[in-house]
Amino acid sequence: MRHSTVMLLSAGVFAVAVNAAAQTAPAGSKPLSTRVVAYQIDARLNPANKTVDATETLTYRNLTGQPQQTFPFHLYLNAFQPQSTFMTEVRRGGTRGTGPDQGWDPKHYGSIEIRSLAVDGMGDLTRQLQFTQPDDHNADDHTVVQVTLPKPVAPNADVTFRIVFHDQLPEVVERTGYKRDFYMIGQWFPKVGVWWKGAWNCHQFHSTSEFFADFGTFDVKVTVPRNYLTGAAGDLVSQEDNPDGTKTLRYRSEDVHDFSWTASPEFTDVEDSWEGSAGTVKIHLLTSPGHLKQAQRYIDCVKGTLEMFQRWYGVYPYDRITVVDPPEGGSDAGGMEYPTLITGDSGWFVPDGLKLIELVTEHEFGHQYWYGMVATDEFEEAWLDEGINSYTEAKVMDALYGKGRSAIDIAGATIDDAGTQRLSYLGVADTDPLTHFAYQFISSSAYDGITYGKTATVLLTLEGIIGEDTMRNAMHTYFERYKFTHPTGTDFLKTIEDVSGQDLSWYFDQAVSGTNVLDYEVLTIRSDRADWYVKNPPPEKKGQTTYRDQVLVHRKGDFIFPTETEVRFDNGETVREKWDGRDRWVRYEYVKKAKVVSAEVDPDHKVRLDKDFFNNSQTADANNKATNKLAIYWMFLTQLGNQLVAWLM
Amino acid sequence: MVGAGWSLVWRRQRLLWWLYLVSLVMGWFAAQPLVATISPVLDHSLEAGHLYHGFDLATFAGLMMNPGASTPAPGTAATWLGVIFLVLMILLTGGILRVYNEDRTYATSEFFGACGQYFWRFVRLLIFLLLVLIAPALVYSGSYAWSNHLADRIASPTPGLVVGFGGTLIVLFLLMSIRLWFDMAEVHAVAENEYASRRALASAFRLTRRNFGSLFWMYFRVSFLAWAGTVLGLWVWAKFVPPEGLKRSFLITQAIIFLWILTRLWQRASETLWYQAHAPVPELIPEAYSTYQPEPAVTEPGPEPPPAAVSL
Repeated sequence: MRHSTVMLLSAGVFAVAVNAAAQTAPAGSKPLSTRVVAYQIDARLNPANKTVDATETLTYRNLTGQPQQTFPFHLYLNAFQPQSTFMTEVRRGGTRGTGPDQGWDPKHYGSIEIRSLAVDGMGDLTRQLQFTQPDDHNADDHTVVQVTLPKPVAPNADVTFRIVFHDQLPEVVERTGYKRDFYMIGQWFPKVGVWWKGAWNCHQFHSTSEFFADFGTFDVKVTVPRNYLTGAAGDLVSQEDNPDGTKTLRYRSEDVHDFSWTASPEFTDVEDSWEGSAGTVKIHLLTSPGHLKQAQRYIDCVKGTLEMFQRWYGVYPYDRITVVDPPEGGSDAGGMEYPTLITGDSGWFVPDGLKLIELVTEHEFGHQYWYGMVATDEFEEAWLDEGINSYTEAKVMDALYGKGRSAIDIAGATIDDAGTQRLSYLGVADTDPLTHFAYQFISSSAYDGITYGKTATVLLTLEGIIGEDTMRNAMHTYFERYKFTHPTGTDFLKTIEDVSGQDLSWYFDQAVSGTNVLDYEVLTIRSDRADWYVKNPPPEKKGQTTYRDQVLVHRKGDFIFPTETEVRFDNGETVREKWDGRDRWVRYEYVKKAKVVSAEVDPDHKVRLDKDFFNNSQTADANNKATNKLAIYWMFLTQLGNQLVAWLM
Repeated sequence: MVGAGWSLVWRRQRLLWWLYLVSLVMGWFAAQPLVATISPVLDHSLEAGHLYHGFDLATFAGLMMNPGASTPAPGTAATWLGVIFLVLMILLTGGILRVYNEDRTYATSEFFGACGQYFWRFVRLLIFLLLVLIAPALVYSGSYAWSNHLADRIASPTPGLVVGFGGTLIVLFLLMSIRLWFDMAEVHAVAENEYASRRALASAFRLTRRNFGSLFWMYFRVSFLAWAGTVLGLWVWAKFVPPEGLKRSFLITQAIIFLWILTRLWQRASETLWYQAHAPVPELIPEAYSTYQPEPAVTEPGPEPPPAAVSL
C-alpha cells in the first residue's frame, strides 16, 4: 500500500498525517522505504547548562497488522547514570569509550526527561508513562519507557504523540554529549520501538549494543547560538536568525531511521562533492581546530569509499554525507554512524602510514549501507551490521590503500585491514557465536573480537569457498534485496546460498552459529630411503635415490573444513592434495626419487579463519632467517635499554 | 675541551672497545631466550617468510599470541641483564675515570683495582641521584597535568601541545644538568680521592653552577651528536636496508649502540680534562709537625728559686 493511500484511510489523525506526508514526501517522488514514523522535532540547545529542550511530534503508522495499545520508547540518555544497566555493564567489562571506564564522574551524567506526553484524540498521558526493563529487570534502568493508550490504534491507522522533553547532555561519552563547546547530539529524543517478529523490540541501552528503529521522515528544527556551525543528518531547508542571538536551522531527512546533529563555534566546514549514479552527493566535513590538515584524507577516503560501494554493492541514494571530526578530547564521539552523518577520528598529527582516519571514515561510511539502508537489528544481530561492515571495510581499504598495508605502512612495518580483523578474533576465538545478542557476550572484548573481527574473517574465508566474484555478487544481491528493510541473519545467509548455488549450512553452522575453532597443522613430514634395510646402501644421490615420503596433516581444532595441502619435493615437483577434513588426520605417502621439501595446508591462504598460520606448514630444513631477524631487533632494543639504564651512572 | 676529550678517548680506545664488547655480549645473552622461544615456531614454518620478507605486523602479533612463543622469558632475561649492566657500569666507571684522569695505560689488575676502589662511593652517588631525580619527575608530572588540563579546556590542541613539548624540553634540560652535576661529582671523587659523597656532590655543585654555560655546552654538543647519529642511523635503516638485509641491519643497529657508548665516554673524557684545567687548586694547609719543640730559653728573671741544697 502506498504512503498517500494509507493516509486517506486513516481517521482521527487525518490532518496531522497529511501534514507529515506533505513535509516528507515531495510530490512525484516515490519513497524508498516503508515509512512507519514521521518525527517533527523543535529543539533548542542551551550551551550554558549543556541541555536541549525540545518538542517532538511523532506520527506512527500502525503497519503491524494488529491493534496496538502499548508503545515503548527508547530514552537512551538515561543510560549515563550510575545505577543504569549500561553503567553496570561498563563496570563489569568496559566499553568502547574511555570515559566511565575510569570510574564514575558526575560530568558523565546524562538524562532525558519526558515532561509531557499527549496523544492526539486521547489527551495528556504523561501519568501513564512507565519505565520498563525488558532485558534485565534492573528497576534503576530508565532507558525504556512505555505508555498504554486508553484505546488501541487500529491496523493501518496513525497515532500522533506530542512530547515535550528535556535532555541533560553528558560530557561526551559513548558517542554523544559535549566537549567544551562541541556538541554531538545523538540518541537524544524519545524514539519509538520497532514491532518485530510479533512483539515490540525496544531493548534497554547496553554497553555493547547499538540501535534499531523504523524508517520514516524527520523534520527537525535546531536552535543554537548564532556563532555556532552545525551539521545534521538531513538537508538544510531553511535558516533564520532570531532576535535573542540564536539562529534556527531546519533539516529534513527521508527514508532514514535516526537523526543526529552536531554544533560547535570551532568547526571549519570543508565542502566537496561526488558524482554518483543517483546524482551529486554533497560532502560536508566539519573539522575541529588543529585537524584541518587532515581534511583531504577524510575527503579522499569518503570519495573512494562512495566509488567502491557504488561499484560493488549498490547506488548511494542520498544527496549528502556529513563527516564530523570531533575535537581533541572528544574522541568518544568519534567512530559512529548515523544515517547520512558519520563521526570520524583524527588528531593534530596522524602519520600518513597510519590509516586511522581512513579506517574509521571508511567503516562509518560503510554503515550507510549496512545499518543505514539494510537496517538490521543491532541489539540482537550486531554481526549483520558491524561484522558485514568490517568485511566490506577490509575489501575497500585493500582496494584503496593496497593489499597487505591498508592499515599501517610505516618504516617497513605493515598490516592490512583484514589482518587487524583476524587479530581481534584470535584472542576470543571460542567464546561466543556470532549470533549472540550484542549484550550477551562474555565480555566487551569478545563482543568486539567476534562481532567485528570474526565476522569479517568468516566472510573473507567464505570468499575462498565460493569465490571472490560470487561473494561480491552475493553482497550486491543482499543489498538490493533488503535495502530499506529489516533483514535477519537468515536472510543474509540464504542470499549467499542463493547466489552461490551452494548449500553452505556446514560452514554457517560452525562459523556463524557455532564456536568451533578452525586449526589445521602439518604435523610431520619425512623422507625415508626406500632401501633403508640394505646393509651397505649406495650413497644418496639427488634424483637417483628412492624415498618413501610422508606428510601427516592434523585437524587440531573442532571446525571441520575441507583443506588443500601442497607438497613440494626437492626435484621441483609440486603435488596438491584435497581432504574433506572430517577425520582427525590424514597421511599422504609417496614413493619418489625425491625428498619432501615442504608441506603447506591452505597454500593459497584463503582460510583466514585458521587460528594458527604458523603450524599450517612445515619445511624439511630449518630456516632461521626470520628468527635471526627478530633476534637482531631484540638485541638492539635490549642494548639500547641498557644504555638508557647506564645513563644513571 | 671537546676536541681534547675526543683525543683522550682515542688514545685510550681500549676502554671503548671493551665496553662495546660487554654491551654486545649482554645483548647476545638477552637474545638467546627469545631465539629459544620463537625458533621452534618459526624455523620450519613458511609463515615466517612474512617476517623475513618485510615485517608483517599481523604475523608478528600472531607470533606473540602463539602459545608456543608467548612466554615472559625474553622480557625477564632482558630486565635482569639490564640490572647487571647497571651494576657493571657502576663498577667500571671508577676505573674509566681513573684512566682518563691519569691518561696512562693501566694493567688489567690495576684497572679493576681502581674500579673496586670507587664502587661503593658510586653506589652512594647513584642513591643520591635517584633522590634528586624526583625533581624532574615532579616537573614532568606537573607539565603533563597542565598540558592535559589545557587540552581538556581549550578546543585548539596547540596550547596543550606547547605546554607538553615545553615541559618535555625543560625536563630534558634538567636531566642533562643533573647528569652533568653528578658526572662532575664522580670526576671530583676520582681526581681528589674523595670518600664523602656529600662533599663530592657539594663541590661538584659549586663547580658546575659557576661554570654551567661552558660545561653544559660541552655536554650538550656530544649528546646532540648521539641523538643525531641515532636518528640518521634509524633513517638509513628504514630507508635503504631491505627487509632481508640482516647483516646490514645488524651493522647499523650496532653502529648506533657503538655511537652511544662512544659519546658517553667522550663526555666523561671531556669532563675529566675540563676538571683538570678548571678545578680550584686545593688550599695548602701546613702540616702540623709533632716533633719535639724545645722550650724557649728564659730571658727574664723568674721568681727566686728556693734555696737549694748544696751538693758537691
